[in-house]
Amino acid sequence: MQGYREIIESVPYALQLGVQIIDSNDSGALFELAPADRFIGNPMLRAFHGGIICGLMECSMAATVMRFTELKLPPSLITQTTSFLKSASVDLPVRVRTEMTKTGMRICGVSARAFQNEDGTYVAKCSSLYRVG
Amino acid sequence: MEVFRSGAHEDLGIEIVEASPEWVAIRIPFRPELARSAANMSIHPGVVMTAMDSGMGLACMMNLKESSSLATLDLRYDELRSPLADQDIEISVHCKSVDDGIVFLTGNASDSDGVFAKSVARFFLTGASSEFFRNTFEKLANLPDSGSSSAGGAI
Repeated sequence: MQGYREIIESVPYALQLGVQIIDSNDSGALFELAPADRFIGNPMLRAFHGGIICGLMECSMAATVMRFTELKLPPSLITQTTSFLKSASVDLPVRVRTEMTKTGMRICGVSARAFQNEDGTYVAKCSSLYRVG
Repeated sequence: MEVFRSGAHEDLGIEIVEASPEWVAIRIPFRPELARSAANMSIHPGVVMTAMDSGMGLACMMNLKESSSLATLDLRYDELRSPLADQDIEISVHCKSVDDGIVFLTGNASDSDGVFAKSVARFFLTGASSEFFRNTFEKLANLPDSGSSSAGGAI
């Protein structure tokens, strides 16, 4: 079975972003993206671009599905719905906690929440469906 | 068209193809480091969502009567199929309505075979306008051809 680090390294865009695995448990995993100016969407707020947050959460959720289903290749994304709750400062890392919500033979569901501070203030949440078979 | 260039746009090499109140088109040039996997060298959905979000933000600004800061409330991305490998992608966005501070937008992502993904999103006009948004709004308002451009530049 591939580990999370190996899974991330198999996805060029996840490597390009710099997605890191922090921790995992029976229902999901915790990922992190280090702050960098190249992720800025609004230079006046010094905030992460919303699309970068979407991409980080997609990489995290796809890796979680691969780990749980033992897929060798990334699953096909069917749909992703992202709600933005707060601007994410580009001076702090963003962490994403994923959780499997449905593990089927053909379709898997997974949700993710992105946060920045130790108090767990969420900056975004999303849910996705993947085709796995 | 050099409207603005944020770190995320520069990092992904996103380019404006056309920008008008009716629609905004953006191109994502293919690069191997933006791919989904070694076995599927098509552009990653995270990159497509980033360009979609950017195009929608620009479409919002093209439809405002006065400068305002804006924020994405939510973005839904539906992928009909994986895009073709080793290919650039084009995003086209339409602003459907601006009502009571909420902007509703739709977008398509296409490769040479046609549309492979669709998006809908809502943006919130926060009112207070930062220097960044004021400058961008002024540049968009002063574009030739009543705010339309097809110069193929970076944002």
